[in-house]
Amino acid sequence: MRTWTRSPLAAVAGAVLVGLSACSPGGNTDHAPTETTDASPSDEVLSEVTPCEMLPPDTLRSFGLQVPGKPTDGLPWTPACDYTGDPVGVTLVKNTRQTVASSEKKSTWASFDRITVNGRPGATAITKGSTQAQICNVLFDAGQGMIQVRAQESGRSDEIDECAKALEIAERIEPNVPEPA
Amino acid sequence: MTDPSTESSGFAEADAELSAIREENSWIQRQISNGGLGMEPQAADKATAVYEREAKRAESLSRQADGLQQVSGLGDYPSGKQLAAKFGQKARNGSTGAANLLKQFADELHRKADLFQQAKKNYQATDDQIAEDLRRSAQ
Repeated sequence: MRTWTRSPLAAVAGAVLVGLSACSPGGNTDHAPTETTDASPSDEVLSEVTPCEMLPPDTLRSFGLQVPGKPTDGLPWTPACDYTGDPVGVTLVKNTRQTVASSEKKSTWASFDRITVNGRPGATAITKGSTQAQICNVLFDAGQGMIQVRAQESGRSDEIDECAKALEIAERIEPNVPEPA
Repeated sequence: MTDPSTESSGFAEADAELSAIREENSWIQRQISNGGLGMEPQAADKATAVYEREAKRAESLSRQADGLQQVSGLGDYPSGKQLAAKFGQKARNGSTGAANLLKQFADELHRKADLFQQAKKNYQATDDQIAEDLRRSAQ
């Protein structure tokens, strides 16, 4: 398994960005982290993470997911991979501009509960417009961004705890992605 | 600037269409329960596979709609925050979200797939009954 280390260059770049953040319009110098539109060390650290390759095919199949997954169109800083499956369908997302802490500040959540994913800062979240869609998001920090597992029960049975399933999948992904920076 | 109230009409229409599909499925269910509808097994299996596949596609779209509500990374400037909020509002559309509607649509497609399997059983039961009747009449 690949090991992830931060380069001295990344550390210097991070220090420069911290300095620049004092000039941000929100002036959130004491409420880090906030989202950024600049190229940041997280782009470098997470750049080698590909959503469709975060888990090996056998592991994906063990969750009832069909491989290969399908890369989905989205914003450049939130590439994703979608898997249909039974009993759940799943979308795996890499987000290089947000962390669990910055996500928590958004008003889009019907619920946002802090958890840990193998010891990393994480959260279980349900969006306001999806409360009847049997969709649950598990987020956890990676690099200076985060990984998101969006699980949805497939079918009409309503017998699956999609949050538990999302967490199970997140725990399998966690060792394969960089440590929070 | 687009008026949010006019934007909501798109989802209202989708909601109405969904109700129509739901009623149609209920009508088919009644016909099957009354024994009035059967389907040749091979055709039923093919139809089931198509509806299951489309149901999963609708669920995939539902997950994408969930993601649209979480658009971020547009920066801390007020304009960036407003734009991100717009994405959320559009995907959410008040109390009825696109993700919810798409999931309900997927559920009806799953239900239709199940109805084809029920119709298949009806056909087989009728077929068996006719065979039994013929066998008796021949004796």
